[in-house]
Amino acid sequence: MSLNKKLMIPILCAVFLYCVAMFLWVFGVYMVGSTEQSYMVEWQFFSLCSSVWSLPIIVDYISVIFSCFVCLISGSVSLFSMSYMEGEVYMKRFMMLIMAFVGSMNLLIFVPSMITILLGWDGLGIVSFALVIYYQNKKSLAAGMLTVLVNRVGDALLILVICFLVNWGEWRIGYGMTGSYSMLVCFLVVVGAMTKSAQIPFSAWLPAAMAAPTPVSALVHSSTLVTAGVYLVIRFYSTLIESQEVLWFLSKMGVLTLLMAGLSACYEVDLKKIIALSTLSQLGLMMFTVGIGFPLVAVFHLLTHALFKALLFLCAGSIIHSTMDSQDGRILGSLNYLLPFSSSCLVLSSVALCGMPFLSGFYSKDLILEGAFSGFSGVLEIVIMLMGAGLSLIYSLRILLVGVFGQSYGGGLSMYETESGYVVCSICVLSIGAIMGGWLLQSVWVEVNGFSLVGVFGKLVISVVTFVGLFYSFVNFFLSKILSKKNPSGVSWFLSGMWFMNLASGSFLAGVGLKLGKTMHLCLDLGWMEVLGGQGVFSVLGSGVSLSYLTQKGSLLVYIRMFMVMLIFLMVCINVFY
Amino acid sequence: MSYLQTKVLSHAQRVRKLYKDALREMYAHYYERAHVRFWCVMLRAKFDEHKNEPDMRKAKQLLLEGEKKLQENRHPFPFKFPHSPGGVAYGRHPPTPDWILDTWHPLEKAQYPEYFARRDVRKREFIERWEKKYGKSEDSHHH
Repeated sequence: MSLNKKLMIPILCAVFLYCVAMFLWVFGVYMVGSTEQSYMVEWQFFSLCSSVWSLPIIVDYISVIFSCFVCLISGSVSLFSMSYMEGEVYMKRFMMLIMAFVGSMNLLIFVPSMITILLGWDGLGIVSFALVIYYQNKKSLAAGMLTVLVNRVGDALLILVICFLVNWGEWRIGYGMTGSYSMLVCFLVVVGAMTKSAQIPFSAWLPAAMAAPTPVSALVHSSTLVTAGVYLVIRFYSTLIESQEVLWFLSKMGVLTLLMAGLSACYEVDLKKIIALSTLSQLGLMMFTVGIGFPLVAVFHLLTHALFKALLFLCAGSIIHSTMDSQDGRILGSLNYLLPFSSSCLVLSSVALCGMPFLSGFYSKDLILEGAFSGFSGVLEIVIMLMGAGLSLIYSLRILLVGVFGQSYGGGLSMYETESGYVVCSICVLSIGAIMGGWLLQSVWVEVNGFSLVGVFGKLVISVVTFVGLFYSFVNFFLSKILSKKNPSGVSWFLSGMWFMNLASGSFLAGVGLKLGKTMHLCLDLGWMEVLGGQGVFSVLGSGVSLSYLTQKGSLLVYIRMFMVMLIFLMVCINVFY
Repeated sequence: MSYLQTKVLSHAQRVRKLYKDALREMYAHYYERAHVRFWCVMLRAKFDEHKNEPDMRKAKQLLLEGEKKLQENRHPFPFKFPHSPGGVAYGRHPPTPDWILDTWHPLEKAQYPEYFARRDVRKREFIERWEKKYGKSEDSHHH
């Protein structure tokens, strides 16, 4: 097989990322995991007049394993891009953006200082903007602007945190960070993390960012951008625990996001958007888990979720690519005949997302549910969380019944393509992860190695309540009466529109931000002197010259108009003075 | 209506437009083809019921009611084909301007000799027509 030069770039990136992932797994399990120690390396750039510039690097179990998963998923995404982006002219540029994204994420993972973490944090925001607007149309640009503006709010909050931390004299996360304004600092960190993880009320950008190519969505929505917020909160947990009010706020926002995204996913028809909303729902679950005091369980779910969600996106991408860019569930259907491999892996990842026993999602979701039952969270929170777990079954089944096993509206199946070898390889790697990831992690990681806190009755409640969703979904799909016409009510508009979050964090936040920016630019940056002086004079002169040019164009119409104006003026003057 | 209407539609045109929009809504609401067909037939029957309405005032009232009902029952996610306006893949690959071909290297052009030979002839004819109509251009640095 001869590979042309364009395709060599993604395959080299994939091989490199797989090698790094393998190295990190071996290093993490045998060097860090066996000793159960964390290492902090301070790399000093230079020191001048008692001012030291250093870059701290943390090597502990969480950072090494998380980075390993990021590299594994990025490698699969690179391999997948070879087929999905085969028509792309600027493949090198695309892969450079992907590698910059992975680099920023690794910087964020390994650097525990609030100042230097901004490099990775900002890098993620900027590169995600470039990736979301990769397809150059208006829809992508609008989605990219929304993404970058909401992320900039988070960046600004982190800079504010750094300003407050000047008083504490310590920027390294989790090392005795205490001082005045503790609650305010914690609140700023949490809200900053909520912007990155698209929690309520900053949720609108996440489904909008689906305008990006599917390999990018797989990377952004499984293990990188959206998990950065959860990761920051987990790293900051040792300080957050001092402010119980902030953790309370975080758990409430998390559980509301879980419910909102789950309900919206049940109404959505776009395959990629359903998956994006399911990501949002799982992020809410992770934030809730941190809020109720189980940060390590949240990390565990973050890792297992990254594996099966990346698989879900790649399978969806394979379907979209094969069916000529169709991603509407009403067009798709009968894909189990056309793409048996992608469809079966989509089923696998969906059931892993549901928490099917002995797949990846089961281990982490079970721990979260047990933790919620045994923790100090309120009854309402637990009820909503169980509803969210039930909803995850409904929307997972919806993906399958609507997208894969339903009836196709499109043309004949012979018009569609089948998946290439690169797609099959990338999906195979992630399928192994989605099946064995949870079990492997629990085997090598003592802290999440299962605990039984709720007894048999609790386990039974969890099983019954969550699998009610499965039953409901089947009933709703197969027994829907043909004669009962479905008209969308106000409630369905509310639920399908993400509780009108697109107005709150989309039109309002982005619109106000842009208007404020313009006002500040005029009033603060330029000032009245500049507006009335240089810029003003230039503008007036420009308009005057344009007007003068108009009169000299030699247009008969302009001359007639001028003549009419002057005639009227003359008549008025004669009337007034005589 | 978010755009400026530039032509007057007759009653019959508005009815046909309503029927077409309503049919498209059926595709948005139902997943099963049998369900869609059933409701399309029902819709057609409803339109046919008033097909020969002699009273124009009643016909207009029916039309307004139909348009209102359509607006009330709009699906939150309207049905769009991927490459149609409003679809997910619309405008994803912008059309390449023709002058890009002028920048091709002669060796590249040599790979498609027939196409470029015909293109050169057409281009020359176009320039001749243009110059005949508008005169010679003073600026020679255009594409």
